[in-house]
Amino acid sequence: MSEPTYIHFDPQALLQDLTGSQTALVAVLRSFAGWRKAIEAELVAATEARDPARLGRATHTVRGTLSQLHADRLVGMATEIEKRCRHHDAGAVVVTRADIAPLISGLKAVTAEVTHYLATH
Amino acid sequence: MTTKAESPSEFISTAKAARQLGLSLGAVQQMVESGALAAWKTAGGHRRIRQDSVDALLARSQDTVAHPRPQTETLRVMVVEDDTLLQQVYRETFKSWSLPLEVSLFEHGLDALLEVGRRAPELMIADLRMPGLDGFEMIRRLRENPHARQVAIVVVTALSNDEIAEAGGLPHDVTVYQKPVPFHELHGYMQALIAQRRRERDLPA
Repeated sequence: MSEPTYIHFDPQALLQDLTGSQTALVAVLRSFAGWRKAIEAELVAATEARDPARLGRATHTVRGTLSQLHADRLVGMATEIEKRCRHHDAGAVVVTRADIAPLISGLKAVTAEVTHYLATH
Repeated sequence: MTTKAESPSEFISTAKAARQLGLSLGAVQQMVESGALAAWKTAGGHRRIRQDSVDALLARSQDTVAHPRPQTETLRVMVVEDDTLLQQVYRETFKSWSLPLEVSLFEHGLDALLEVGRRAPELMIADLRMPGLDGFEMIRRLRENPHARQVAIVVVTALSNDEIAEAGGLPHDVTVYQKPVPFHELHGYMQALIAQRRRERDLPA
């Protein structure tokens, strides 16, 4: 049976990054769901607080961590939001819940694929 | 941050705390936000920082003695990364290698600096954007410390080279990689450091 295709992250590239350690890969992916919950809560809280600095930090975290999972589309999204937060005018509301919605649904999609990978490997 | 008003003589301004700690205003503000320094805000929104929390930080950083490097095979590696999942990535990957490593992980730049003063590693792998004392300032302070000049520094960051330059850049002797963490390169880097240590140890005095 051929390996299923994952479109939201790339487990093979991650495995290669981790110098081929399947044990390390599984340990990292097992932590992903908890990490996603925490970062999603922070993204929402920072957006609702209308705090661009805080939201910029949260999206920077998403950018760094998802680049490790080779979730390139989401890395691009997070980078865009981070840039908008960095170059905001003082007091201006630069990012809304609607702006972060695609990022949050993308994080959920990665989580679903990670869960599938763990269940089948 | 506390909002309770206390005797003004117990508190100092952000600028004064920054001077005492030898840090930038921004770093001190972030340390207040992260809870590393105790403070409250005036009605006008100015931070007032507890002198005793600044004193405690100074005492911790001054209570540091440079220890001689151990004559063992083990390479001391310090990772400074605030993200929990990436900490796990480092921990699990290093554990899977057969290199003689002693790895310590720190979430904050200040904690890492204090540990360097207590016991310097051979290699520091650091993120740049971190709450509190960020990687830029941590590295600047590290390079100012004569006991830590020998520490090899590798930065692993999501920032692009342009963004690093925009933020003020890094010393020329710092190796910079973009995330994802380049473990193949780090493995080779560590092997080279271990080999160098062996050569130094085996040289006649």
